Amino acid sequence: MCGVVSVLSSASVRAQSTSLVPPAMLLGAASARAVDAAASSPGVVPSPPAAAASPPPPPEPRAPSPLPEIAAVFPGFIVHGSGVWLQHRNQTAQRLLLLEGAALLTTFASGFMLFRTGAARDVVGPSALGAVAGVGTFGVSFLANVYAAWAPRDGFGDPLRTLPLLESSAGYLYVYDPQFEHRHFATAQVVGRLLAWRLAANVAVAPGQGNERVELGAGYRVLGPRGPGDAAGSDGSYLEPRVAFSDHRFERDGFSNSVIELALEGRLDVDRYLPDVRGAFFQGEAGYARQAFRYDLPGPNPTEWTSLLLAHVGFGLYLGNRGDRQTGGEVQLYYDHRHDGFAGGLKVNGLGSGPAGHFGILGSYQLTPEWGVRLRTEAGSAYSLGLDAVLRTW
Amino acid sequence: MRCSLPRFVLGIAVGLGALGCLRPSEERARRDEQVGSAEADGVRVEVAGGHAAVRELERDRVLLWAGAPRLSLTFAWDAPPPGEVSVEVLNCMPRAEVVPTPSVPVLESGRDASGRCSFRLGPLAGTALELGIAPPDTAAPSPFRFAVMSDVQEAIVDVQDIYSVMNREPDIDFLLGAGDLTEQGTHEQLQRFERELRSLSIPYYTTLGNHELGQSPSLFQDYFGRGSESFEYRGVRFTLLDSASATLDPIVLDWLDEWLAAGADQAHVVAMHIPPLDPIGVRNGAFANRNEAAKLLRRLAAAGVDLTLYGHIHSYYHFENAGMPAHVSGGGGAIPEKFDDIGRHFLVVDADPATQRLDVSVVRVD
Repeated sequence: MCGVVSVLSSASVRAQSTSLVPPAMLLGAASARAVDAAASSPGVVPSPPAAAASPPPPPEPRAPSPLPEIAAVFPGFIVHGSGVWLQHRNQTAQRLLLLEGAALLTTFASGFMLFRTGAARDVVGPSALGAVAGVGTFGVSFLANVYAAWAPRDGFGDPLRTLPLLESSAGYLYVYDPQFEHRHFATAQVVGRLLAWRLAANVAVAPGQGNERVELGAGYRVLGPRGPGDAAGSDGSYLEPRVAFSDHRFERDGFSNSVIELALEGRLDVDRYLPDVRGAFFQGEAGYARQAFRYDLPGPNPTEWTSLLLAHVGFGLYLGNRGDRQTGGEVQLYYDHRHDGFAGGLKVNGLGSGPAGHFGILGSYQLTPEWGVRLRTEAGSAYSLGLDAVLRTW
Repeated sequence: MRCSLPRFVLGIAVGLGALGCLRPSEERARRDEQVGSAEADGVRVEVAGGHAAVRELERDRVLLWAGAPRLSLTFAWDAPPPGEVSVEVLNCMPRAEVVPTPSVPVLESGRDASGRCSFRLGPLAGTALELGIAPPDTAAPSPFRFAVMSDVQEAIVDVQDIYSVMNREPDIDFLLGAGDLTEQGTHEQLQRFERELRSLSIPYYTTLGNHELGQSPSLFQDYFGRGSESFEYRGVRFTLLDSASATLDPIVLDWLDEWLAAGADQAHVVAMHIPPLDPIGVRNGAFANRNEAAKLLRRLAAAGVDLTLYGHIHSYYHFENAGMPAHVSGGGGAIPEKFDDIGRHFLVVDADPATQRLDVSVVRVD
């Protein structure tokens, strides 16, 4: 409850922005923050200093707190930007509404295509991706609309602008899936970064329960924060094509599957689009995977191939990473369209079961520059909860 | 109440899981267990295997909807039993006969053009009676043909086109369905489906699809019986599974073990609405969890299932899953998949239990 009071209080005194700023200027503003970053500790940037000249006084809110915060939820769910409009932040309100409109347009266009073609094999991939992007963008637009109205002016933290050389973690994963007996997993992960390159290995093993999953991945950071040896990123936004291979063995159940995937993953800090909304980000991914199933059966054992549409849409907050404390992290709420892995896809009691993926929350926090924790929970065909200890090497 | 780890996880994920649940078809599986059992006016009726829905029950009369070609039912009356008993079976096999145990005179026996069989027996000798209702010579293995059709939905207005073609196909014993009979599974739509079916010369044994889940709870079982069942006909085992929620409930999986064991030495046909795996993976008109799908397919293949039949996808696909032949046939007329050059269709399967051959052919309607 205290946190909520704090958020409301901060929101009520936030600065207002009413001017329309072209996107190019947004990038310029982000670059300016990157200059500030140069003076900071590795991977961490202090908060922007107060402007030397007094800013113009913000316009009076159209309604006192907590009405804007309430309006962000309703009617904000229907009309994104309702809350910030009451706070007299017209540009932010307009852009949220524009984002919502784009999301709805994409959703309806994709839905129309799926409906009219009967989800035909030749067009279903792009149509389904459009539907996920549309619905997902609607979701993150709504979350951004709530965050914009509720969060303090500078958010709750800043992004890392240089990534650690090595991030190792070990932990525990609990999986509850009524279709399988496995429950308890030991997990380990190593992610190495150098310049723009990323290599990652991830393993989850259920001792004595006949289940193990191994994943290897690599990526190249085209834009955004990179590993040691490269210049710091201007903010947390990035673009990274990636490839991965995973092998998931279900020894007790007599089958295994392997996935080879290619995806484009990216992040956009919210203040690039909504200049007065700091400390949050949009996350997204689109890709394609081939999946092979092998069955433990007597006689010839054919490998059967199928495909997976990869899509991920999330909204997250940066936590900490300010000043010289070098501590902090981030938390992200997301939808992931995958139907493999531990969570699988969502089961819906009605007409719509099958196509949907799963939801999740991923949070991480560095208690020191080296040591931190990571928590992930997902809900799809199964519920999972994982907790890791994280060691970073800079 | 102590909070177990699953409940704790459930609590953490409650916001995320609000849109779904892990066992959406559990309630239907439990209702399946009740199908075929009824009690009223001092009489109890039990249909073996839940192979028929009890629509109406009076002390001296029962009205059933058959969900399988061969029925076995028992009556148990509080003493004294009625003098006569009337048994009416909708969706009844042509040439069906009734065989009472202990022996009771059959006063009346017949089947009308709508597929309704009527039997009247009496005088009853005791407070218990067992009836077998089936065409003669269908207990022993012998070659036969059956048809497969699914996914009618809003195309119910034109379904007679399909039935008329099917009626012209020679020697088809029954029609097997993999769900999506209606748009939303309302009373009106289920009744309409039943009315339209009266012009089909053979009975329709079907599971339900996701479009029967527009009402909660689903009304399907009240009309057409179990979503998951297994029966034997002429030496071939048929298993229908309720995958309408893109999953099989663990209760159904327990039944499946028994049915797979029963069909181990026979040709075995398994049908369900949503296929475990969509041949077009990026579409995922399939189980919500691919690992569950693979586990099920491995179980079916290990038990020697010979043919898998699916609906849900409004086209025709022939492929293999876990080495088993698979046919997706959603040709009942619901919003067709474009660019596939298939249109409305149904399948005809020639079954030879002696060789365990199941040859599938596609019959186009349009």
